[in-house]
Amino acid sequence: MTIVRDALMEGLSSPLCLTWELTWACNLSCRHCLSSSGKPDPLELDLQACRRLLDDFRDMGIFYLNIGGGEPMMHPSFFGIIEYADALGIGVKFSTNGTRLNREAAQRIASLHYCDVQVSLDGATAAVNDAIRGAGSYERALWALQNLADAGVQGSKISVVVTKGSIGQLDELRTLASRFGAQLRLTRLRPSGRAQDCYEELALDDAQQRYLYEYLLRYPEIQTADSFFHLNALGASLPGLNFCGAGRVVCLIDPVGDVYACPFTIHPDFRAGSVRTDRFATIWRSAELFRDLRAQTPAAGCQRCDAYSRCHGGCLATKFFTGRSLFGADPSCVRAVGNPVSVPVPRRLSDHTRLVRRGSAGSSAAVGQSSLSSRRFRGVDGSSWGDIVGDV
Amino acid sequence: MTGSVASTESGVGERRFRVTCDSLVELRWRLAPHVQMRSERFGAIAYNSREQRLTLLHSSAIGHLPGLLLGVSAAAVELSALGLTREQLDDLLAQLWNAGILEPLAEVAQPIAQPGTESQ
Repeated sequence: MTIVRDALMEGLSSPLCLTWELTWACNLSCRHCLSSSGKPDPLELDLQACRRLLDDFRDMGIFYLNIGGGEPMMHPSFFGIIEYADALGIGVKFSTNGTRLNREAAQRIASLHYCDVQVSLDGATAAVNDAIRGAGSYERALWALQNLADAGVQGSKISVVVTKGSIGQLDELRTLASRFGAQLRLTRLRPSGRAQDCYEELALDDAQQRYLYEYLLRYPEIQTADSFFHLNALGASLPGLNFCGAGRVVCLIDPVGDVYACPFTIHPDFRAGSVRTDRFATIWRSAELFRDLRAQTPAAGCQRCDAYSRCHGGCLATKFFTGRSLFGADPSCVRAVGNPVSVPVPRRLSDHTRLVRRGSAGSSAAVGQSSLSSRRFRGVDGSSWGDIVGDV
Repeated sequence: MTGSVASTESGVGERRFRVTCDSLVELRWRLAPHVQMRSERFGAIAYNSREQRLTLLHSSAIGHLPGLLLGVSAAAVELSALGLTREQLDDLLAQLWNAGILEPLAEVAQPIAQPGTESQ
């Protein structure tokens, strides 16, 4: 698999996993929301702009989109956007809290060629789920799943951000998914967005991580969005990518058109450009940030660890938003490789809980004037990437 | 120059047809249903939307066979432009077929009867 890994690390002509947040509008206020969603921004891309972007995606040969938000179904042109994507032959996977997924919506989704719906649920019981996602959200998510099942939508997912609260409910979550003919999808909590405020409280401890790893090995049909590759250091590798794909195979477009390295790095240091000023293909292929990320050895400080080839030092965003060196180990490293907090913890970009006219994150800097901060990409000793490889 | 196929997910596609011929190169091929493909520096990436499976194709040859992928011409017609031997291309086609990415055009192939179903 070395050839495969190297080919992907060096970057692709187009992203494999393109997350597109359509809106910051959301009718829930989940504690761990990675985009701090709540109110829409007046500058969010409208249907016309979204169609132009979709035309670019088609020209780039992008196979599918991961659409999120906010609650994407609250975008005024949600169906116009996904139906246009479908007409172009671009698959749609979208995450929803399910609150707007009524029978009519489910039937409309069922009529598409390829639309994969992921209903977010963060516990197998209302008590666990609603403590994170808000009162009534559990029942509403199940209502949506039933509507999808009744409409004959195939392959729906129950998407769970695993926390201390839900780690003991994995069997129940599998049962719940099968009740709706759905698949279970588990993803990792990262300290991004509002999750920065509850990360320490909700993130799995070491024993819970080991339990999850064994569970995923036992049930390989559970989807993970490749988000637990840091657990590969425990032994056999879990299916999927075993390195951080930020800027290599993954990126994010936010509701106003800013492009970031991944959905969990919404911060000026990881902003590559804006589709308002540049074509997406130009940003993906030429942005200085992305070229830097593709050229660097991930977590080079971990290279001496015998598990490095399986985990590659873990999640970039988790290190960044906990103030760790990006050269070092994931703060949840199961080998307990140290990577102490070394810089002030960066704060999330903005909070959309209130209506704020934010607009584009950075200036209108053209592609090539990356906002990548050299501070973030220096080791504890200030060495550059190239200098520090194999020398920590 | 022999191509290699590596999938990022377990499982491979199913052969829906069998053929009787001396060489796969003589056949006309097309992308299997639900499969899309795009060129990359190392070769190409194929995506099966039904199985949600990505496959990396480490062969510079495959990206240069547009006529083949559209079922326009037999692979033999395009051989000269690739610098491949018949055996090499035969091997590549077999791998792509096994991976569920290409399939022979139906008119030259016989459907494989599935257990409990009638031949189509």
